[in-house]
Amino acid sequence: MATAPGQTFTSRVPRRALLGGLLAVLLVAPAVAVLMLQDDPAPTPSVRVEQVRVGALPTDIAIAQGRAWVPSAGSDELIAIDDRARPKRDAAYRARSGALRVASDGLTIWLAGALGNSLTSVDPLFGGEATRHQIPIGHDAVDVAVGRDATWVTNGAAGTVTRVDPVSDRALGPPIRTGRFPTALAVGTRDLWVVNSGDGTVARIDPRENLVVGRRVNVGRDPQDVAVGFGAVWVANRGDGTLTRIDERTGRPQATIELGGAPSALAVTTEALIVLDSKGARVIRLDPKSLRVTDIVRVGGFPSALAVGEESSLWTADARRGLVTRVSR
Amino acid sequence: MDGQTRMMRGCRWIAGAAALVAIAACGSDGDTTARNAAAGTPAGRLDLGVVSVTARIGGDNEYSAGVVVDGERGLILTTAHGVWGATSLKVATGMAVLHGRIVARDACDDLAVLETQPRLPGLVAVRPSADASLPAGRPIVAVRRMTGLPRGGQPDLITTRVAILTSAVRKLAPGIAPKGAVQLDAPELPAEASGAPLLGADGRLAGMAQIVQRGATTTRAALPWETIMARLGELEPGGRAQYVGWRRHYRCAGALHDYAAERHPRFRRTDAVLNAPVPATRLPGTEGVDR
Repeated sequence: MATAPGQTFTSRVPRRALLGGLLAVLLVAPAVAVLMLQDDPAPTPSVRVEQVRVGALPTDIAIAQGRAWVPSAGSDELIAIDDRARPKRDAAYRARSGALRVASDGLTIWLAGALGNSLTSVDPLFGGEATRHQIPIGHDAVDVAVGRDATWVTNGAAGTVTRVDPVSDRALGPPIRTGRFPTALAVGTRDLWVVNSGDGTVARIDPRENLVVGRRVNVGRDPQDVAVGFGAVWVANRGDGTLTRIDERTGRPQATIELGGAPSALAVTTEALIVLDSKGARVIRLDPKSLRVTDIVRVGGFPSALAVGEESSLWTADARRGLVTRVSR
Repeated sequence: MDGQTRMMRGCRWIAGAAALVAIAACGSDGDTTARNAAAGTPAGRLDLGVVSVTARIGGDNEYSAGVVVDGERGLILTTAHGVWGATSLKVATGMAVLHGRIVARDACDDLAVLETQPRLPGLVAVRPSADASLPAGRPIVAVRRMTGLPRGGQPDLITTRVAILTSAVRKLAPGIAPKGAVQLDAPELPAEASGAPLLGADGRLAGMAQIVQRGATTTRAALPWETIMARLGELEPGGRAQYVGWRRHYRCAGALHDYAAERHPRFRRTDAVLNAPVPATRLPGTEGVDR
C-alpha cells in the first residue's frame, strides 16, 4: 500500500472505531428501544396468530358450519372464511348493504346494520347462491342475537328490543322497552340480557312473556357487550375498563373486575371468558372462577369484534385494516 | 486508496446501515405499515375524520356533516339544529355507516356531540389548528363526506373553498346566536354541509360551518375552533348519562324547537328531550325481583 509522504495512519484507527461504534449503535438501538417499549407480555410460543385479508371492512364475526362469517360494512357481501388448518376466504354471498353485526344459530346467518330499518336472514346452505330475506323491524337494527325459538334485535334510539320469528321471518309483538339506547344482547339459559349503553344498565327479558323482569342492573360506564356463561352474565364496560359479573339466576351484580384498556367485546369458551380490549388490541383470557387473567395475546391493529371458533380458536375482525385474525393453540 | 475515499466509503456504510435500520424498523411492524397505508396521507386521515349525518326528524330526513373529535370514544361534533328531535341517527364514516346517539347539545352555540354505535376503533380525530381564530381573508376549505357507504380505499370527500367575511353573524335563526360566529362567503355550500369542518392552510381544524335554511333564505356562518374548544372543555363525563356541562344552554332550546317545527311539520317536542328516562316494559309483579 503506497503512502503519501508525511501521511500517517494514526488518525484512521479512531475513525474506524468511530464508524464501527456508530454502526453498532444504529443497529442495536432500535432493537433495544422496541424491547424497552414493549409493555405486553410476548404471546406464548404455542399460540398461533393467523390473518386473513378480507379487504371489505369486516365489522363482526359469527361461527357456523365450520366457517367464520364476516359481514362487510363497505359492500353487500357476506364473506365465509374456512375455519380449517389454514384459514382462507372461502366464498362471498350477496347479503345486505352496510351490515355491522352478525349472529347465527348454526344454520341461518342474521345481519343487522344502520342502513334500512330491517334485519336480513341469509341461508347459505345450498349451492352458491344464498337465500335472503329482508325483515322490516320498523326501527334501527343495532345488534342481533339468536335464541332457541326467536331472533332478537336491539333498536338503539327507540330504546326497545324486537322479537323476530325465525320461521315466518316476521317481527312478533310490540317492541319491548328496555332502557336508553340498547345495543348488545345475549341469550342466556332462560332469559335474554340486554345492555342499555345510553344509561349504563342491563335489562333482563323473559322470552315467554316478552317483558322485562325486575329492575335494571347498573353496570359500569359505556357498556358495549354482554355474554352469558358459567352461571353469570358478563358485561364489558368500555368507558371505565371494567367487567361486571351478574348472577344469572338472581340478576344481582356480584363483582366488578378491573381490566384496564377498553373492553369492548366478550366471548365464552368451555373453560374461559374471553375479553377483547380494543384500545390495547389485546385478547384477554380470564378464569371465570378466580377472575384472574390467565393469558394475553396481542392481535394488533384495530380489532372490534370477537368470536369463538372450532377447538376454542378465537377470531377478531379489524374493519380499518380489512383483516380477520384467528388465534389458536 | 486515499483517506478521502476511505472516509467516503465509511460514510456510505453508515448511510447504508441507517437506511437498512430505517427500513427494518418500518417493516418490522405490519400494523404500522397497514396503518400508514390507511391513514398515512392527509386525505386518508381526513377520510377517517369527516362524517355525514342523516337524522330522522318528524318522519323526514335531515342531512348534515360532522367531524370526529375523539376517535377512541367515537365522538362526532356537528350542528345541533341538524339533529334536533332526531328519532334515528345514521353516521356515515370512512369505515362504515354507523348508528348515532346524541350525548351533548348546546342550543345557543348550535353544537351537538354524537356518539357512534357500534364503536369501531380506527376513526381519526381531525387535529385542531394552532391558530383557533378565523380571521377574514385566511384561506379556508370546507370538507364534507358524500352520504352512503364508504367505497373503501378511496376518500369520499367533497372540498369547497370558502371565504371568511369580517362581519359577525347576529343570529343563525331567531334565538340562536353562536358566540364568535362570523359570516361565511360560500354560496355553493349547501345546507347539507352544515357541521362541515373548516380547515386552514395547514390542513387542521380551524372551525365549523353552520348553515341554516329557512324558506328561501340561507344563512352561512363559521364558528371558530376557539369557541368550540371552550365548549368541549366544559363537557365532562357524567354518571350514566355520558356527558354533562351544557345545561345552561337549554335556555335556547325553545328556539331550536321552533326551528325544527317549522322545517318538519311532524316534529314532536318530546322527541327532542335528551336523556329522557325510558321506563322498561316490565312484567307486572316483578318489580322487587332483583332487590
